[in-house]
Amino acid sequence: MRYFITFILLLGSAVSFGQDARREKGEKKYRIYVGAGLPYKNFFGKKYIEPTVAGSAQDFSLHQYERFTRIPCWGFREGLMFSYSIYHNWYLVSGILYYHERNIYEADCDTVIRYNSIGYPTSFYNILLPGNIHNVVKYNYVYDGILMPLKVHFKKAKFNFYGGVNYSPVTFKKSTYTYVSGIVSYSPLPVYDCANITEKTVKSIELSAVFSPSFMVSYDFKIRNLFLNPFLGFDFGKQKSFNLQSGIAFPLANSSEPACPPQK
Amino acid sequence: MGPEYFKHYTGVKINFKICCLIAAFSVFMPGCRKSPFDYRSQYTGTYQFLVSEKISIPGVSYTDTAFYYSGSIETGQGTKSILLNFLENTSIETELHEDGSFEKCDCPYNVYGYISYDKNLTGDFYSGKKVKMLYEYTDSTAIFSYYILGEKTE
Repeated sequence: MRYFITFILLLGSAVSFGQDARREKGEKKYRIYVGAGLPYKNFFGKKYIEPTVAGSAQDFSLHQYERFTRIPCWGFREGLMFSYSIYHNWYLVSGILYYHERNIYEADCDTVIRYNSIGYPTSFYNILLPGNIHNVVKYNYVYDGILMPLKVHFKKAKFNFYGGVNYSPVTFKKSTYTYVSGIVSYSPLPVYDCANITEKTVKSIELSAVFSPSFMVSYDFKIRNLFLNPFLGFDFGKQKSFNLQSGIAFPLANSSEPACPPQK
Repeated sequence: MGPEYFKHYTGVKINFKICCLIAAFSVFMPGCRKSPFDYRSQYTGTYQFLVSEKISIPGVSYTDTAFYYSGSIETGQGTKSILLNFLENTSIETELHEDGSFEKCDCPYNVYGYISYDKNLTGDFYSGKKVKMLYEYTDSTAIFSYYILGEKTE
């Protein structure tokens, strides 16, 4: 809901401020946009992560997500973009965007108990260690952060083509772990209760240097005095992921309008 | 908004080839990540441990005591390991997982069977300042079991 409200506010400011900016600014070699988009994160290849070799407690982080399935998710981006003319129809584009995205890994309880889990064993049953990462059935990572694109923009007729990288300097990460817990009985056959789950949330801030290749196409569109740039984007991410993104950008300060004639 | 839309753009004198090179470099630059903050640092420090000790000699005796021990948790030699000093003459290094849990044991990895062990440490941080652990070991004479609650003092 908060994203929708922010989007509406941005839309309103784009319409009102954009018109004023065009009137007041004369000939400039830049454009300023405010935009919002909805990226959809998906993956190349299979979403299920095949096991490699049998894991052990010592190299857990290498096999952490094996036998888990990655879940495609929607995200959200919004912010300001600046486009600066460098040569005829070529521009350099940068800006600052807020982004929200998620990474979800899920495995079924039976798989976790059969292959991953560890517990406190007795002769007849095993008490799964509460709150231990080996007993996780779902990882839910939520990222809120700053994204700074650096792209080259080429304009051809009403189409705009962008290519470059997105740089993410700071990210607020909220990790929620869902654990299976309880007792696994051995005899005569293994019996366990998959409804017995617990959760834990860990929050952290990551200052990092992440660059991801990004491409985008937009179209110059005008409704009365309102300029719009609907766009489609494609970003490469980590772990064979990609983002398909669609959204709208609104030019705020735009140098393309003829300057006002001098007042006599 | 057509081609005239941008007709007033004249550009500035920037070397076009250099710009293309920079753009191409940035597009094909491999993704990289480094974490300047060590996630273990929120857990390391000096701790006051409340230790519940149970010593059992099967068929002979059983003692149950509790005491405080001033110890510490430090970063280990591995990039993800921590060093736990929670008992006199006991120092254990183990991998700290991203969720704040850890274990060091001859644990059964797949639990469809009983696997015995001689020494076992499991635990997790349930806040940046509190940790709970279970530590057990056996020797030729007895079974030692410790349930430990630790709170960071600085």
